[in-house]
Amino acid sequence: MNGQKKSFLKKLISSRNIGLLIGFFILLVVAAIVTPSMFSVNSILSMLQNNAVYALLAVGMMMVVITGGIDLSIASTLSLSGVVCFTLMSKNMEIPTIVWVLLSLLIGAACGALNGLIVGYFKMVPMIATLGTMYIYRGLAFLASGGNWGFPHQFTDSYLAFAAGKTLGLYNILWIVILVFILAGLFLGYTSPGRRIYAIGTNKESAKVAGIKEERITFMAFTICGMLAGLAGMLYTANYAICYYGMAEGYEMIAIAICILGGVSITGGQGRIDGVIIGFLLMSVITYFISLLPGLSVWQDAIQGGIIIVAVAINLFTNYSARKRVLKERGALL
Amino acid sequence: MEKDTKVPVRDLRVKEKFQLSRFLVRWEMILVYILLALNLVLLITKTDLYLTFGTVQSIIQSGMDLSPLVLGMIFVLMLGDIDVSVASIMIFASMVTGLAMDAGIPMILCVLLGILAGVACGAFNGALIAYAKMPAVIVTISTSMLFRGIVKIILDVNVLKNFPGFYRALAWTNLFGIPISLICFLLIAVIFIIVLHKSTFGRKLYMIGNNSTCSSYSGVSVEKTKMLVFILMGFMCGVASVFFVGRMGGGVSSTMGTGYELDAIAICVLGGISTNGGKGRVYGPIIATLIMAFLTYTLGLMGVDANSRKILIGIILIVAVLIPNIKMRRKNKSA
Repeated sequence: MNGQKKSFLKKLISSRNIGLLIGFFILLVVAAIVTPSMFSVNSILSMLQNNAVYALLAVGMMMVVITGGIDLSIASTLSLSGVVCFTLMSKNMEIPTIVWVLLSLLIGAACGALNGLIVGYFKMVPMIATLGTMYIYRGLAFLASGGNWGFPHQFTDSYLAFAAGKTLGLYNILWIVILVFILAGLFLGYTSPGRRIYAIGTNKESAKVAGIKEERITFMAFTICGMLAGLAGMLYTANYAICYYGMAEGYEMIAIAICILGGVSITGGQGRIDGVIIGFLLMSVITYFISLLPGLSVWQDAIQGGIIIVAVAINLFTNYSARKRVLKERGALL
Repeated sequence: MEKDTKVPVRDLRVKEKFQLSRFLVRWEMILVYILLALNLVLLITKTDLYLTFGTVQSIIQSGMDLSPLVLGMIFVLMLGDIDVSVASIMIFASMVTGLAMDAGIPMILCVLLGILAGVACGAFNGALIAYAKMPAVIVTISTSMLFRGIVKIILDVNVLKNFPGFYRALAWTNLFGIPISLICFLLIAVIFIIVLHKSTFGRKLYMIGNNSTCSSYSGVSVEKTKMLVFILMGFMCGVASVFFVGRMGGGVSSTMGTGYELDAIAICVLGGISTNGGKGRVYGPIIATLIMAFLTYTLGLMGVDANSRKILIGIILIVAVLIPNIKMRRKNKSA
């Protein structure tokens, strides 16, 4: 600022993610003392593999939240696309897996587009609109599956290998997650539609005055979010080799939690992909850590709920202090 | 000045002359027509069942367990906020009552303790939303996980079975042919109507829902009002726990009542409460509660399973919000 170059250390301290990183390291140290078995390459990899679905949902949710909206229907979208892909796959085993991947993307995009249509063009409150579609998609998933469960022996090997197979020592699903992170980062940071997402999240009126078609951008954000949720549905079934219409219930809350932990402002206009990545890692470590401690698995809901409240409080507080600092620099505050 | 008239006219109008033609197409009256139509469908398709003594009573009884939640939710939506933690608070309150009964505390105290637990949960929500200025959606999503999480920690997989005897009587018996739960619901609803439509507190809710900055400048304490509304919501969750436990036959486990918050919101929205805040009357949701009860019962009789019913509730929720939205846009365009 003011032409001066900040030293690296100063930049690090003033970065928004510093609190998050400190929390992350404290957690790692505690985990290292209490459950040293957590730190082997294999267990870390399987931890990431088990939580990879959250990452896809969180990236989609992040885009919607940055526009100032919220999407509660992603878990139902995931279930719908997973159920449809599985049901068709188990009946047509000869069709290559890539078809199911494309189909899942398509189903997700359709679900997301419906949300985007209602929210963007009909101006419905995102919360209520996606609450309604959440019911609808879950019901459709039930109809598509006929209430049947899918078990491991019904999956083809190539379908399972798409998520749980290994390439270059990493699970395929992790490669997909890394790819999504990179693409989302580039999209949000360096393309004009990506920047417009921030613009309408920061101030709808001025974005409109600047010639941004707000409806289209909202529509786009919801469609991308739905697409990622659809892909997550196919990957969920392939990753865990199981499929039923009630799967992933409540995952939308975890996606929101990851976003908030990662510093995405719930009122819109703020949030970066690096924060979401750290939020994802933090959430994975927490859930894995809890699952390793004996007798703590019933605590999971309460702990996650508590974490979200604390994260929002910290988020609001840092925003508040940042605003105050800006005012101080301008001399408006003593 | 021109611009001011374009702002959609909301329910702050003082008084209008009574016009029959207008009264007949009001949203509440449309809801009554839907209710009558539903009854007619039921009457025609299941004549033998409908004319049996007790069918209508049991339909009404089946919808009454979430009626207190609906009434509380009206006030929360009126502020432009939302509360999705109500089902969790309800279960939390039920658990407190059940645990107190197990500990051998006198019955009346147990009921009060349950309601008090609801009030405490509501106050926790309210403090975070009103004073810490956190968004209501996020706070209540996380507290719904938190409260249900606490219930899960305490109850684990156990079921509480020891509840006051009058709970079940309240939910399942009739007085002169009218379900007692309906009488209770209407009595509480009358209080809510008076509070919302006739008291300063109710008028403040409309003001804050329409423009909270404006109302805080005109001397309304927005924080205090919000806090009160969320405490009231918690109180109503406590009351709902009485009906809920009675309805469930006097047993509570940690996974019960999921999805009640969405049903309550759907009923409010169907009843004409705007989710943007500041619009709606209490009468609408009262009728909508009955509609939902008749609808689920009728669909159930017709052999539609619970999951397909979910699709229908979702569509109703969206359509009920879309219609006034489109109407408003047309009005704005023509003005």
